[in-house]
Amino acid sequence: MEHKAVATSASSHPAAIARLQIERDVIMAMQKPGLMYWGLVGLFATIFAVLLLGTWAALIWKGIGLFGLQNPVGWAFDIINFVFWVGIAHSGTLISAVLFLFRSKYRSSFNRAAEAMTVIAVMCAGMYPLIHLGRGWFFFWLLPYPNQRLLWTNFKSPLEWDVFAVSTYLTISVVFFYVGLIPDFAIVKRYTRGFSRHIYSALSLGWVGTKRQWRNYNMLYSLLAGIAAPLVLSVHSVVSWDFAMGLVPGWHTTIFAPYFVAGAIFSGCGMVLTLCIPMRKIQKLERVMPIDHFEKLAKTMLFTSMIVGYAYTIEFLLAYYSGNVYEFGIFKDRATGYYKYQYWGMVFCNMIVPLPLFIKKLRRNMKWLFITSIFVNIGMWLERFVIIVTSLAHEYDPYAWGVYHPRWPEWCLTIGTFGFFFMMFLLFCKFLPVVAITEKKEEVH
Amino acid sequence: MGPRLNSKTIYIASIVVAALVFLAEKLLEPGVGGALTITLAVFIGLAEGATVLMAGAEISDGHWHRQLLPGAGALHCILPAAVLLFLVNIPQFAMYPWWESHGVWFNQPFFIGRNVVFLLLMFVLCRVFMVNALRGSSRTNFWAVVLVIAFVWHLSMIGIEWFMSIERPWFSTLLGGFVMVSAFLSGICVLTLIIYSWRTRSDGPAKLIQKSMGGLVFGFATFWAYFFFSQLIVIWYGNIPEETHYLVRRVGPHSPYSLVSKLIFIMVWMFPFAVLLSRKNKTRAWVTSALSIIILTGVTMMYWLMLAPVIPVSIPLLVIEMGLMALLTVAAVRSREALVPALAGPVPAEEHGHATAKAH
Amino acid sequence: MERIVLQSEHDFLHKLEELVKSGVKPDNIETRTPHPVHHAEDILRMKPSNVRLFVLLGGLAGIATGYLFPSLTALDWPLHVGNKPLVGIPPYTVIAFELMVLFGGLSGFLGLMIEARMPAVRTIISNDEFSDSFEIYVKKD
Repeated sequence: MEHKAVATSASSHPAAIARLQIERDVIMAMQKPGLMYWGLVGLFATIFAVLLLGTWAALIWKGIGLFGLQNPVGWAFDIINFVFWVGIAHSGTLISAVLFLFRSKYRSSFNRAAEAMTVIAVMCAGMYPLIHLGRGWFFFWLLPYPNQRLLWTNFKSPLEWDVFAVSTYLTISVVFFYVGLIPDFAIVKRYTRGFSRHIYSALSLGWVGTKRQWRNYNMLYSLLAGIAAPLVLSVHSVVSWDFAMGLVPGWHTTIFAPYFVAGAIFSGCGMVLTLCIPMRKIQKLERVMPIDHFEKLAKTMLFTSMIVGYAYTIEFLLAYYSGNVYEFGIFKDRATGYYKYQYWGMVFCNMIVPLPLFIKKLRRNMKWLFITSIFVNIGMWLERFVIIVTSLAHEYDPYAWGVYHPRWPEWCLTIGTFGFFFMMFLLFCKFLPVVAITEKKEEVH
Repeated sequence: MGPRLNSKTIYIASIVVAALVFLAEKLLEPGVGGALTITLAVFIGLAEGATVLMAGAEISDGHWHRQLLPGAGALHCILPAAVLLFLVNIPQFAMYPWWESHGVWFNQPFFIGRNVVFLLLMFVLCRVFMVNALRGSSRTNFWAVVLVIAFVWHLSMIGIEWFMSIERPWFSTLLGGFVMVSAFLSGICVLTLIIYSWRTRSDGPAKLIQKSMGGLVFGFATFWAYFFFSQLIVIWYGNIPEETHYLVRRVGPHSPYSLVSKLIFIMVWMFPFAVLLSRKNKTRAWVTSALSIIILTGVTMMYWLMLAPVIPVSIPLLVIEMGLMALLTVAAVRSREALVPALAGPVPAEEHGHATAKAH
Repeated sequence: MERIVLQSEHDFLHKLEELVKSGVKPDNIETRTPHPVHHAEDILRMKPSNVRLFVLLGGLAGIATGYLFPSLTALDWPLHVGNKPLVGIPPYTVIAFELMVLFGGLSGFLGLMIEARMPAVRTIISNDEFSDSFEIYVKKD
């Protein structure tokens, strides 16, 4: 993509200079990428192609018996990764939509990157239901379409709710992302020539910023933010109900919905930090992404970490209170059984590691935040592992207790989706403006 | 309406209220418990809820709430009365199935002790936070965080120990959170009512603040409904008798309380939601205030519904006790300047040590 | 058509107020701004956008579909699954909520396209640009 700085009108007004500076800072980040960048994209693309697509091909060829799934653990990495990626996606929508509703000032630094993260993460998540179906090409059976056999889907099943929830979430996230980009595409168009210019021009739908356009745009944006916020709550609640509706001890509990939502926001904050801290440094966006904003994100992460900690504690205490031997049995097994390392690793990463964020100095330290965010990502992945695998491994009948070992397809798929995610995010960084230019301009007076 | 108190007379008033309630319990309907538990839950909830709303706004660096601090300022002063009433309520605790047993957690002296201690702790924390916030001190954020954490645990404890244990061993891991959200919602509602009562004062909160309470009521009533539904759907779907019996007795179509439970859901969420959908209604102070009264009544009915199928709850007693506590609350709010000396001066526009934020 | 170009929001609003006070009809004033200026909508006495209506109707259609469609299909072929009633409010509430959001969002987007007259094909083809300055176009009667 050619980059040509075009001054719109010679002006010495400080406001105009500030606005143009924002434009230039963000457009500079979209400059023609060098070898290092393409090298990284290539690396992640290879990981994606070989590990994910290759494994998927092997699974279709040989069948999903290649997985390490056995009785009693018939559901593991696929659903763990699905929940993990949907959770990450949620934080993006939260940062964008909910902070918009609260008129938060620190939103504008992250919201574009967060929305991109949402869309890419939902795509990653969406692959897993298809993979774990085995015969993924029959996925359309999940959709209620009129057919010759007069069959309809079972709308009472949580898995069907998932179909509706995640498809709605993907659609609305894409719409929200795109609507926010329309004015920015029009700005990028000004800096491009040739074929790229035509693309950005078409994508901007002829936006020029008339009063009519702005009025309707603002109304839609507010309404989309207003419906995206409850959507975040509902989608991850529906995902949590995949488990809570079952009668498995450790799954069938009412706190799952808000607990999973808080966990999703927590893991998403971690991922946003993991992505934005390096991005800020590498693309020299310090001016448009001040440390204050990262501090606010760190506070949100700390807050949600405490909610997750509350849920762990309450579940354990009430399992004991209930006197139910199966309910308390699973909690004892999690802490002392075969998977105790994963369990305590989860507790450490999710409850202990974020605690130092109470100290202001650490909240404002980019290196500390980055390291904490890595631990949070690992901890939240472990949480899903612990919830799913330990509960299935240790249900009611001792004869049915078992142990699960992941095999190569599970690991390859997991790493493969990370490859896809980072590849797409890198592409996003170069082809789309990573900061909402128009919103940043609004802050200039 | 209501007398003015100062920091000494509030304690006398609390003792008077406790004595009156004690007499009422003894004379009117002895042996019928629950009413005082409900009253306590409602008023502790709204007092702490309103204070925690201020704490939450403080933590998220809001500035809109500073004009509301006087409103929430003295609400925590009813907590000492709550301690006395809790002690008056001790005979009624025989309604709990675990009262005679000697568990590690559920035994008589520990139960009474920790509830009294926690109530006093919450009183102190609310006060310390309020004073810090009113003075604009740099420790405000710290106390706000401590208060919020303590609030979550206190209201969870109230939900689990006072309401859930009545049907032991039935449990719902979200009930503590549900009671906490109900309390927070009550706090918002009571603050709305206080602001509404000040609408004609020249130094009352700006019209803008009156308008923003509508959005808060809308949002948190919906959040309440989400917690309600989360519990309902998991228990409904699992269909395990040891879990469903609780709901069947209260919400099920064949239970005598079925209509009341539907009414509660409509009063606390459906009706306020429908009314506040319109942007105009969110900004009309009288609409949000009327809805606040409806919501507070609905929340009280919800606590009643949690106890009623198990123990007979005396409605006349409930009305008397709620009335007395309401009078005390109104008196506390009216006397806020005497009760919380930091309220006597003007509320600082910003906090020391915080940069002035641009008004947006 | 008079074209006034300004560089700051403050100057822009000031000029708009001047024009309206001097008797120019708000309908004859067209503006182009690099970011939304809310006060300008008040000065120009603009009516609130109709996109709200699109979203509301879409949302209501979503709720109706979300309850009716599963209920009617379940009654069409009454298959008892998992000992749940054929028509149950809690599970269908989830579907209704999701469809409310989906239809509401998509209708809203359609509403934006219709109300804001986008895609503005003429603008896409021409070299008309989304500039960084505040422009006021006054149509002379």
